[in-house]
Amino acid sequence: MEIEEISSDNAEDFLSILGPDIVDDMKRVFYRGLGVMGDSSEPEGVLIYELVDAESDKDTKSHVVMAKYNSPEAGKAVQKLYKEDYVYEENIIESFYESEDEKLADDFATEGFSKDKKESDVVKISLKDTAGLDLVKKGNPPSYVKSIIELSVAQYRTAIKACLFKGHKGVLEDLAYLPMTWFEREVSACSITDGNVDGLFLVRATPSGVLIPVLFFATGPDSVKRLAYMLIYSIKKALEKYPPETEVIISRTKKASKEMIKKLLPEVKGDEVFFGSRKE
Amino acid sequence: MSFVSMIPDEVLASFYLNSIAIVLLVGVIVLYGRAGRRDKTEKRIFSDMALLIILLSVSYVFETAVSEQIVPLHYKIIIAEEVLHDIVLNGFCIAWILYANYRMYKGFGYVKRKKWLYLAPFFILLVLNMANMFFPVFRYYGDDMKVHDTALFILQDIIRYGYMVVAAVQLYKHNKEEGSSRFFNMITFVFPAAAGAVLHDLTPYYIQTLSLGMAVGLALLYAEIANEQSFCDRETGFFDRSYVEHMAELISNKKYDVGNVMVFDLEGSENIADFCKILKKQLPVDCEPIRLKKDEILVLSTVNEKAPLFMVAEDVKMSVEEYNEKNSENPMDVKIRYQLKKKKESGYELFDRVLKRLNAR
Repeated sequence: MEIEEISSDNAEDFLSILGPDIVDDMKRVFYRGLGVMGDSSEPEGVLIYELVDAESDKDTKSHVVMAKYNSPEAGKAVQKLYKEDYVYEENIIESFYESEDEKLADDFATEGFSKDKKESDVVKISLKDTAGLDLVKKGNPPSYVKSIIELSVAQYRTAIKACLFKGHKGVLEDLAYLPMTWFEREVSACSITDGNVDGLFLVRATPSGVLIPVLFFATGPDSVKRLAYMLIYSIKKALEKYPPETEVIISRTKKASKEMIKKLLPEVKGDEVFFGSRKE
Repeated sequence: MSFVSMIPDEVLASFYLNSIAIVLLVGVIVLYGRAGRRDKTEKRIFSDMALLIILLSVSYVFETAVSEQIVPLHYKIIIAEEVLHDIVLNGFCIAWILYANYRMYKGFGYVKRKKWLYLAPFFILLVLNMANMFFPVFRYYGDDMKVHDTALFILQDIIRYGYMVVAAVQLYKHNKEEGSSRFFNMITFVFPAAAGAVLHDLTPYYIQTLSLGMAVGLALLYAEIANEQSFCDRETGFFDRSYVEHMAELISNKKYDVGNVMVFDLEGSENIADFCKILKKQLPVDCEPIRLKKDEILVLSTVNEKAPLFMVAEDVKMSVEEYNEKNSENPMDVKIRYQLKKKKESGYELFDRVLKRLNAR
């Protein structure tokens, strides 16, 4: 059994356990991974985590995005290495996770993590759920709302800088490092006023075909209206391009996004998940 | 008997009050016209507002003279003049909305999207005012040979106040989102103008304090602009070194939460003005650029993460490279440094630390 660091160079070796989306995420700046290769050169286990607030004045935390072990020994080995080496190296002061798997939660509990249950902040819907929204049926986005594919690289970067300097990065720790091509450029929308981008609705299309809204931001007067227009625009574009069964994953980490989902899709709830944290 | 002693006291009072307003406004127009590196559009709207108040002042003096029958005119001409007076005042409200929006957002995009909402009341009033030339809508000529307001006149006042309230609400929302607008406080204009309006209604008709109140308000607004200009470096359009102490005060009073400081050092290059054009394009509006030394620009912002600074640095470097390709005989050489706020360090401590390191304090 061999433990190795997972990076963009070798993530493909762990494809069978990681899946294509996480393999793709391993190219991202703050994603880290530890993997266990079995004697038969088959992956036995992985621990993938993303650093949170790694480049700010706040303390660095670690969000465990995925932990999967084919054997308890693999799990223990990876957790040990994570705790003893990587937490120290990255100056992580707290690690936290969220999972539907109770067994995994129990494993984490044995490693010193707390264990609690809650409704997940993440909700999963299908694209066809959005087609029926009144907002989408009646709404007609004006001409100043466009796909981000119409932006130049300079305009995109100016918009991202404006976003970041106002302290907004959506669900992306590495927004500053992501090129425009990382997003679904036809479905992602922007609003433009006086030649400047004053609103962004960025959507990621993962390799497995899931759509994930990752940034929803607008500034200036009537920002709420422009947010609505961008949402309508994106949904309509997505409906044109993707099959209605396409999964859409929405993170309701901020109060505003929770309220928006409650208003638009009141019947949609997050799954019950286990969550916990550990001070390092 | 002198000419002045023949003029009724009411007309003299109106003349003196409105002359003060006009002198104040002419002074403001001249001084603002000389203000260096000020946006031309902003200057134009400001000057237009001043001109409208001057027109208002002149019309007040004229109306008083007509009321006291110094100037014998046909009643239709008198009504026409009153109508023009109302159109000028209503036009000022539109100019005020445009000015406030431009100061906040450096463009008219948001106003243009709601242009019919903003202009509809003005056009309705314009139509009604034009109709007033033929039958009493807002004003009528009474048997006492004086012009009186109709009951409907209050509609104009409501709409005018409505425009003022709209602009105030926009500024409130803008300040809530972006932080207080430095050097643009609407109250500076609104308060004297409102005080003038109230006094105008409470005092005899010839004590026309509305135009004076508006003139004082605009002059005070200009004083804020002049204050901002006093910190400006003429060559680059950025703030100059004197702004450092002003920012230090804001930071120590927690009115500005500095998260990082970037320093752009041109190391003796002569093309600072060209560099500042590049920097202006690459810096988000939330940043505060200060020309610290002849070839050194300090930039403050509230964000405390490295990545946004790296983006700015990368974009500036690329723009400088493009510039140098076109200006190979006189290339720029820029060194970029930055300091983030350390854990548990206050914004003031960061600012002080950086300035000491740069020997700027």
